[in-house]
This record gives sequence, structure tokens and C-alpha cells, in this order.
Amino acid sequence: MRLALREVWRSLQRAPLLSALHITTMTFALLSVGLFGLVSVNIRTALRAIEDRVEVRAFLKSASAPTAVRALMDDLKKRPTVAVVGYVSSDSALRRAQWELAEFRDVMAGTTLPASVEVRLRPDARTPGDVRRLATQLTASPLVEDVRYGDEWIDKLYRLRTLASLAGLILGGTFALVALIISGATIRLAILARARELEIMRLVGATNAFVRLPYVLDGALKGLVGGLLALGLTAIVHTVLSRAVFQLTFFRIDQIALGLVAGVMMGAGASWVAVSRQLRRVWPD
Amino acid sequence: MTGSIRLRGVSLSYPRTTDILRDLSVDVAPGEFTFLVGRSGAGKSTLLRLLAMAVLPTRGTVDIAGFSSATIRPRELPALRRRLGIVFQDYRLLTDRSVFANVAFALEVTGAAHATIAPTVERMLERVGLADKATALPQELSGGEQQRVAVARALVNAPAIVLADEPTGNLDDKATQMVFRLLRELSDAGTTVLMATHDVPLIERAGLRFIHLEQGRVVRDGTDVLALRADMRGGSLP
Repeated sequence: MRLALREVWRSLQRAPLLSALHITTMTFALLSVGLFGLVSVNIRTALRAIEDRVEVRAFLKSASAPTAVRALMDDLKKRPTVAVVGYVSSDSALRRAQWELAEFRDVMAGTTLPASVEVRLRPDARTPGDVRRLATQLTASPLVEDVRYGDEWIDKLYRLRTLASLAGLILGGTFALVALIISGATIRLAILARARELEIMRLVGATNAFVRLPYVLDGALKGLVGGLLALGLTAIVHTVLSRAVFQLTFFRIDQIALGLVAGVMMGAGASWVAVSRQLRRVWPD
Repeated sequence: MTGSIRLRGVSLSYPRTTDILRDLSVDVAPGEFTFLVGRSGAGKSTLLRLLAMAVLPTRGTVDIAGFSSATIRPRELPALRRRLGIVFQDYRLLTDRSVFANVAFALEVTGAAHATIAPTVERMLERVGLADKATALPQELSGGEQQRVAVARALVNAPAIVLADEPTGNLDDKATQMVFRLLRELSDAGTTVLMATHDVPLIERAGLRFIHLEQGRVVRDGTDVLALRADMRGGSLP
């Protein structure tokens, strides 16, 4: 390990420009992944905010007995898919309507609006199927006059979410692959620059694992440095956009850690592949 | 025997080419010094590649340093190579490292104990007459000195067999004699040496066994240099 670390240090010293090129390539490759990740995270955050507003509202018949309504609410609260159950009285409904539609405040004076029970589902149970199932069950209740749950847009919302996830997966994967190919080409350059060392190692009987170790460590180190620089640049872009346009969500600490680990793995993996290709050339031409 | 070389019916061909080596059967005893002679393209370097098992024969078997081409597994190649010392015409030294570091490199990458490296390298540089050049870079040395560094690197792991591919090809007479003497001393000390060369006068002066290869075949195996000269119509081979 000491020799491997010394060889890593030697390669940094001997070819600082190539090392800088390698780190720069890794940085920009990972920056493209980071920026795409930032867009993806913010799209998901926006969609989640919309999803949070998904609720099923059951308008109650005017003659519904309070005890029966309480029993219905208790029953709803016990369901594993339900997060929050709220009761909106007739007066509250009117006040809310007057506040939301202030220009019609006078028209609404003296109007009676039906009381309702509002149900919000847990984040993992907000599929159109879950929402419709609950709406159907509530419609069947003798206390309920009508049920509203935004059936005209909920399908579109979930299609959008699926599309966003799919696009995230495909585009993210493509960005990562392109990053891997670009950094792989740079690593190949670095390894070709050290081809003689590698050849001599093989000819004097170094094992493949021993030959690979310094190159893989070198790749991992540069992946880590590239990852940290890409993270810094992504943070700068995030700050600028948040100040100039609108507040954006940044990565969580676990997402940052995952990104850095991916950078290290990418650097080490690309080095492994490049050095393995070179190792097949056992004997010099 | 770790120092012996035995080829039986060895042929080598690549796809869409004629045979590069054809039906070679050769024995080299432990500690023996043998020249490998032939024109350019006769198959000398290919035979050395085959002996280091950088390529495997298409037909026949190569037994060398206790390993057989018929049974060797890829993970055993490092063990074979540690029993071989390989020297090239163009030295193949690391130009950004000192003479000492070049020789030490062969020990370091084969996992030698740290404490043994410096004394072993010093002893080896002493043996090749370069103790005073330990801190020099290869490009500061003459061709002969660089080749002696390459020999020191090949010997530092105490190989049973040395494969030298035209080690004197780039050297003047004096340097050639020095490198040859070094290899000869090795052989006298029990290391098998197989040296590829074009240099018929060197073979003549040495009076040692040679194997003459032409078009991938052994055309003569012995010590009769007059016959070799007749084969070659005199002088150094082209």
C-alpha cells in the first residue's frame, strides 16, 4: 500500500498537467450529473408539493348526526393509507370560501355550504388507484352527499411523476455513462503515459492486483477531488439561481455522500478498466 | 528443474498468417549459456515471448522454470516471470527514476521486504560495476551502462533463467564485451542464459552453443561457427 500511495504521489508530481486534466474532466463530467441531479431533485420537490395537496373531500348530508360523522372519521383514521382526517363545518366552509373568493363575499352572505370531511393520504398511498378507492368507499356512505378529489387532474399528475422519474433515470444514466466514457478516455491517456512502468511491473512478475492498485487508488483520489469540485460548483449554481430566480432545493446530506461515493467509484472503476486493457499487452512490441 | 528449458514440437501461428515458429524441439540445461541467432524476422524475439509465456504455442509444449505451457494458469504467470530475468535491446528503463530506483522498482513491485531492498540493489549495482552511478538518471549514462542497469534489474530477483533479446544490439564493441562478460559470469554462477543476437563474431569468440533459427525453424544447434558462417555466407547477420 505504501508503494501504491508513493506511485500515486509520483504520478501527481511527474505529470501535474495530465493530473489536472484528469481532475478537470472528472469535475465537469460529475458537474453535468450534479446539475441534472439538481434539476431532478427540484422537479421532484415541486411534484411532491403538488401531491401533498391531493385530498379527498366528502360533502356531508345536512341531516348527518355528529356522532355518526365522528364514527366515520374514526374509521377513516384507522386506515393505514390515511394520514390526516379533518372536519370542516358549514360555517368554516363559508368562511373559507369568502376568504378564497373575496370578490364574491357579499354574494355568499347568507348562503349555506355543506359540512365536509377532508382526508389526506400518506405519501406512499397517493396513487390514482388509492385515491379512487377511498372516494368510492366514501360515496357509499349514507352520510355522504358527494365526493370530490380532483379526478380530472390526478391522473395527469401521476403520469407527470412517472415521466419525471423515467426521464430522470434515463437522462441521469446517460449523463453518468457519458461522464464515465469521457473520464475513461482521460484515464487511458494517463495510463498510456505510464505504459512502460506497467510493462516492467508485469515483466518482473508483479501480480495483476499489485499492478492495478496504484492506478485504481489514483483514479479514486481524482474521482473524489473531481466530485468535491463538482459539488462546490453545483452549490454555486444553486446559490446563484436561488438568489436570482427562485428558491431551489439542494441535495440532502445522504445524496451528497452518494454523489461523492459515485465519483470515487467512477474514478476507480474507469482506472480499473483502462489498466486492465493495458495489462493485456503483456510484452512490449 | 527451475533453470531448464524444454520445447517439444512447438509451433506458433496467428490467424491468417503462416507459422511464425515451426515444430521446434530444443533443450537448454540449467546454467547453460546459449545464443539464439538468426536474421531479422527469423523468430528469435517470438521465441523469447513464447518462453516468457506472453503467447502460448499453437501446437507443442514449452516447459520452462518448472512451468508448462500446457498447464499454466494466468494467475501463475507472475510466479513464472519472477524466475525469469528479461533484458531488451532498448534497455526499457524508467527515465524519470535514478539507476538505484530502476533496479529497486523490480523488487518493490514483487513485494520484497522493505529492509532488504537497499542492500540488494547496492550489491547488484556493485556486481554490474555501476555502484558509483546509483543516483544518476538513465539518460545520463552511456548505452552500455544503461544496458548494465537493465541487466541489474533483470537479476535483482535472482532469476533461474535470463532471456536477453539482442542486449548488445545498440552497443559498441567495448560495451558489448562488458555486457556479454556479465551474462557469462551469471551463467558460470548457475543461471541459464538464452541470448538472442545478430553478432556472429561474438558467438565465434565465445565458442558457446548457438541455436540458429530461420523462418521459424531450427536450422542448426551446436557450436560449429564455421558452419554457421557458411549458412549465413559470413559476417554479421542482416
